[in-house]
Amino acid sequence: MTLLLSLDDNNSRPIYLQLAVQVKEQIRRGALRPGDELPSVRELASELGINLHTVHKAYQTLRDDGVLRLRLGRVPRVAPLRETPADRGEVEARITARLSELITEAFHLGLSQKDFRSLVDDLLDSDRGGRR
Amino acid sequence: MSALVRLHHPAWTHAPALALFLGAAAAFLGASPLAENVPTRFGPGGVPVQWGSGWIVPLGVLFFGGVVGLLVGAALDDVWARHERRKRFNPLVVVDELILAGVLAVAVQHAQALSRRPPLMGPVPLWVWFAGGLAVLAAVVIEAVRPSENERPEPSRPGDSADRAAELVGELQAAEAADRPWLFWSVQKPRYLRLFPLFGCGLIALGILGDAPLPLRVVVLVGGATALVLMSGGIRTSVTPGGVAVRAGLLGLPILRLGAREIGEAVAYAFNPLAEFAGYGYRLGVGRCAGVRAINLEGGTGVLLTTAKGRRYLIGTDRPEQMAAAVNAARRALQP
Repeated sequence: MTLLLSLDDNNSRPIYLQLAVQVKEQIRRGALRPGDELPSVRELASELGINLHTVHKAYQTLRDDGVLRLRLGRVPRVAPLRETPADRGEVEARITARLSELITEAFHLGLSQKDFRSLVDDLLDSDRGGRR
Repeated sequence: MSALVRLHHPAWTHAPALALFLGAAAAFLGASPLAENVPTRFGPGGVPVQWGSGWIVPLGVLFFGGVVGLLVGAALDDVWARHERRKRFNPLVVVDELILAGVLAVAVQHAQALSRRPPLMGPVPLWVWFAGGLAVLAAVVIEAVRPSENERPEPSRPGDSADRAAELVGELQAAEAADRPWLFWSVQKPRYLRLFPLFGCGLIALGILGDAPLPLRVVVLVGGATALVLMSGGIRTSVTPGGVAVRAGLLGLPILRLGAREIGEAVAYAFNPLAEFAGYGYRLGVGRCAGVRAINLEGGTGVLLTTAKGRRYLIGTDRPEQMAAAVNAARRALQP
């Protein structure tokens, strides 16, 4: 099992969120699989030179999203993938609002609906670990 | 067996060992009836503490010795076959025959000692030596003619394609360019390590509850604690712009730490763990790998690191191309 994480000080996202997003992305790509172990909070904080609480918060976020299994005294593990799609409310809360922001962003960048669709299609096609 | 576990070597190569196992079983049947009430358990000083049927000890020796011998032999042969790039003679092929020959000798001795019939000949009859020697010879001949399933190019490893390594290099270069901290993390924790906590707990229980002399119990306790803490947990390799660190065990004790400045070269490497390092763990290599210190718990791929002083370390990983790319990124980060 391998994992690559990097932090960007210039990124407007807080560090814990950068970590959480990268872990999620590596699961999507298939680099991390259900059951794989992640570094402990202490190990990850020490290797990346960041605060323990930052890593802890990233792992808690991932646990709350159902991506990670955290148990006291045990190494964090990637949780099994969700077998059925989330309910409408959760999709609304976590996807639709963000997608709406992206559509607005695309509008202001001068992209047509067709351009935006083809952008999304290209990204989905190049995806190696996504669900089909 | 092939249906339960996917074997990389033909199961019929164990026929001589199986014949010895059946020979030992036949020796029991031939010696029947056995004495009815014999010592079955001995305390300190060899004093019998438990008595029972004459079949208990010989059958225990036969089944535990025989089954363990066959399993150990099959496991060693399979690790060998799995990692050979082309057919090579496996000298470990006689391990199960040697164990089974020993089991046969013990079985025959027990059967003779407990049999109500007069002994056939001396303590270990000549035919046992003959059968053992014949089985070892047969194993050697079978190994010489054994087909190898690796006489073809290695299948590509999913997730470690050149594409993924190139993609990783791109990600690392972007992180370097922006002077962002990064971490490449690799874990080796094979399933067989799950046995070590059980083994460790068993030894600790034996050390606490056993009736052996105190110094021996202390040794057993220390052995159990070592198995529990050091041998479980696997190895974790981290590569950062600062260098490479390998940690082991539940406590993550550092067993290798190399600064990026100390590393002269890092290349992905394929090897045979049994032939070149005599197994898994922290090992010294022989032959092509003479002088190489390997830290590997599973598989036959890793990254060969050569330090500026000429020392060579082989760190096992199932993604060697990616790890080599990460180490080389750490080295490049130092260049002005």
